[in-house]
This record gives sequence, C-alpha cells and structure tokens, in this order.
Amino acid sequence: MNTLPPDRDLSPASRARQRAELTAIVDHESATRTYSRRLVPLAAAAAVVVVASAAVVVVPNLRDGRSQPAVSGSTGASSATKTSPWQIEPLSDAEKGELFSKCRPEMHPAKGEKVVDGFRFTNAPADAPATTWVVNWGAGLWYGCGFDKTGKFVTGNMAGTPGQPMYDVVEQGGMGSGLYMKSVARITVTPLNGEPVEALLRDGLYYAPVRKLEMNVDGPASTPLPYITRGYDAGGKLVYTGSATVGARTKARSKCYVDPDGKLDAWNGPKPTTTTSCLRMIAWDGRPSGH
Amino acid sequence: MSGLQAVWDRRVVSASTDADLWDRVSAGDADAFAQLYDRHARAVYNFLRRRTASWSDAEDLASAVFLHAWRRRSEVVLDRDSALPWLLRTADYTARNEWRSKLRYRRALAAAHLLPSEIDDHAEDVVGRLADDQRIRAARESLKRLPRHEREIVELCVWGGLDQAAAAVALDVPIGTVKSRLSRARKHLRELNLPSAEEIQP
Repeated sequence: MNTLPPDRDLSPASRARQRAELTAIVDHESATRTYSRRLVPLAAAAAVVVVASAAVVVVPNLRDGRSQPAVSGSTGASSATKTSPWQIEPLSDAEKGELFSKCRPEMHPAKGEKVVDGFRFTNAPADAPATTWVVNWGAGLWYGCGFDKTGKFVTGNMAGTPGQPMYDVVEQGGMGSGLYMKSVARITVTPLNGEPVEALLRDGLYYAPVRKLEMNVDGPASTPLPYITRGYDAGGKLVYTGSATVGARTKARSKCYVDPDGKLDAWNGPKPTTTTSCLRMIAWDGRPSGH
Repeated sequence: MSGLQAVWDRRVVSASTDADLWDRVSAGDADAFAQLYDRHARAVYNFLRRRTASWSDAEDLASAVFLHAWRRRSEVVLDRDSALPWLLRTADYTARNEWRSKLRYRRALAAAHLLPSEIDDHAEDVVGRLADDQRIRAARESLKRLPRHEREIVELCVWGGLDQAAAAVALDVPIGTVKSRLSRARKHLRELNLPSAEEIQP
C-alpha cells in the first residue's frame, strides 16, 4: 500500500519561471566572474573608489566617462546637495506586520526576524510601482521589500550585513533601490529614456520611486541598461556613476577585488596570483533603524 | 549527442547523457543546465515535497537546489551516468538550510538583475496540492518514530524510488551502510506496524 499521494510536477508557470531564472543566473555567473563570496549584487559598478588611509579617493580615469546627469544643478562640485522631494509617512505596526508577512512567501523569516523600518511615499509618481517599503532584520542581515499601492510585493532584493564589503560607495539592488555609504549625500536613478529620479536616503539604504523596466538586460556592448544610478557627496560632487551599457557593465565586472582587509574577494577568469592590481572594497557603514 | 532530442517524462528533452550535460555545464553552458533542470526538476521537487510537506516550499527550494548544484558543479558525483542521486543529496542539504538556501537564491536573482516573478496558480490545482500536503504530513508524522538515518532511507528508496546504489550516492555513504539501514528501517517499520514497511523490498 502506498501511503503517499502520487508524484506531481511543478506547476507549468513555476517550471517555466525557474528554468528562465536559473538559465539567467548561469549565464550571468559564468559570463561575469568566478563565483566567490558575494553578499550583494555587483550592481554594474563602473566607478571605482579606493580607500586609502581612511580617505576616499576618487579615481576618475576608471569611470565610465559619460556625460553628467541632466539634473538641474547636479553637476560639478558647485552644486548643492539636493533634498529628496519625496514625502513619506511611517507605517503603523499593523501595516508593518501585514507587509512583513507578505514578504514571507518569498523570504521565510529567520528566528527573531522583525521589521525595523517601514514607510510609504505619499507623493510618489503615478508610474512608480514600489511606493511602500519595509526593512526587516533577520539571519544577520537587513533586507527591504517594496510594495505597490495595493500591498503587492514588487521589488526588493537588497540585503546588507553590518560592515559588508561594497564594490563602490553605491550598490544597486532591486528596482531603484540599494545600499550607499555615509559619504554619499544624494543619489539619483535615471530610467532609460527618462529623467533622473531623486532617491530617498535612509540609514544606508536608498529608495527611488522609479517606473518599472526589465532589469535582465543583455546583448551587444552598446545595449543600454535600464537604470543609471549616480551618487553625490555633500558638496554636490559626483562620486559614483553606474554603468550605462552592457559593455560598461562587463568592463566593470572584469576587475578583481580585495575585501577591506585585503583578502581576495572576487575576480573574473583565472584566480589572480597576486592582489596588487585588485581594487579594494569598502565596508558598508549603513545601519538601518532599530540596530 | 547534444543535438538529439527525446521524449522523457512527457517532455521533449535532450538525449545527451547527464555526464555530457555536466561537462557542458562546467564550461558555463546555460542551455545544458536548463536541460538538466528539465530532466530532474520533477524528481527533486517531489523529494522536497515529501520532505517539507508543502508544495509551495518545495517549489521555492527546488530552484535553490539547482542553484546550489550549479555552484558546486565541480563536485558532482554521477551514479551510472545519473546526476539525480547527487541532486537529491543537494536537496537534502538545501531543505536542512531552508532559510539560507532561499536567501542565496534571491541574491543570485538580484545579481542577475532579475525581479522575482509572481506565480499564478489555478485555484483547483492549489486545493489539490494542499490536500496532498496533508497526506504527506500524516505520512511524515508516522515516520518520526524512526531514527533520522532510517527516515532518510525510506524517503529515498521507498518514496523516491532510488535503488541502493543510488541511495548510497545520495547519502554519501557506502552501499553496505545503505543495506544495513534499509534492513533496520524495514524491521522498525514492521515493529511499529507502519504501512511503509510493505513497500521496502530487500
């Protein structure tokens, strides 16, 4: 007597989705770099920052060399730091609890996991799907979940551990969101063929209410990427520019990196025999609310 | 062989051997990996379904198993040209580390610049799957009276349909150990008057 139900297959939708996701992951990881310890997305970082003697030194000749963003007063050291135009309101405990549970089908909570931040944009653009955010702490990291106006999960994926190595002062995560260092005072995210959107900066995590674009982009080197992220310091100086094209992203990913302690962390192709030419990562100094 | 197609498990799949496909996967061939997924996803999913008693958890973890397999592709052990036993070993590890496995998969999606997709399920199908979950939970409850090593044998050899050699690969133990654990499991199941005892063949 068989005591179990008969075998089933995955639902066709799940099978198709998993197959496509796994294929994309294999493509991505085999085309980029030898898999090493990776905590967050490489985020198409084209700008390179070297930390030396506790000072952040910008290396301009390694940047994309693209034109400056078309945000009014945002280029050059003379522009002042721009305040985020977004208005937010905190979520109630009940709302945070509801959204936390809605995250669970995607990311089952670890023991002791809790919501440490939750807010809603009250004046977000109509075409921005992610208008409400919660940030959870669990399993030794923070991660954010973005929801639309109806409470449906639409993006997230950013995750940070205390002091985790970052490839640059800004790291893109999900749609219009990611991590930043305290040295960054302003971030804009420019959708393809769109205007720059100011990001809300909050405890090391940024949130830009951008319109939804396909993020899994590949193709010839000239293929544009869906979003370009830029970071500015308190003086308004551009200190980070994300890759604008597939080619720039590939170039950025071809570098090798050592962690803040000097240990080889990520590389592309054969493992480097020396780390002298590798770029040094920086330790994330964000600390979301509640921790 | 890679260009040949065959009908397997109601799907048209590559006629390449698992060894051929793993060789190609090792070189970063995403198509070969997709073919391995086509070939073994159902078995991995059902193993996880029985382990978790949750079709939704099993679906989530199935993708994590294949991600883990991709990242450990250099460690694959084929059993008579089948990667399934090794994949089930990976599934066991993945289920034991459910939270980290899912998170790891989410990070890989993010790094590949993919957004998580919504899955639309037909209500009737969901109802059927939930009923299955209840039956699996009941079966698992009865197995709780066995030691862990014997439960694993039942999962693989009775529920999963692996033979002893394949189970040895899945558990990473000598085949003699599989034989002795099977023997003990059969004895205990009979002592406990559990119905699965009838399904274990020597």
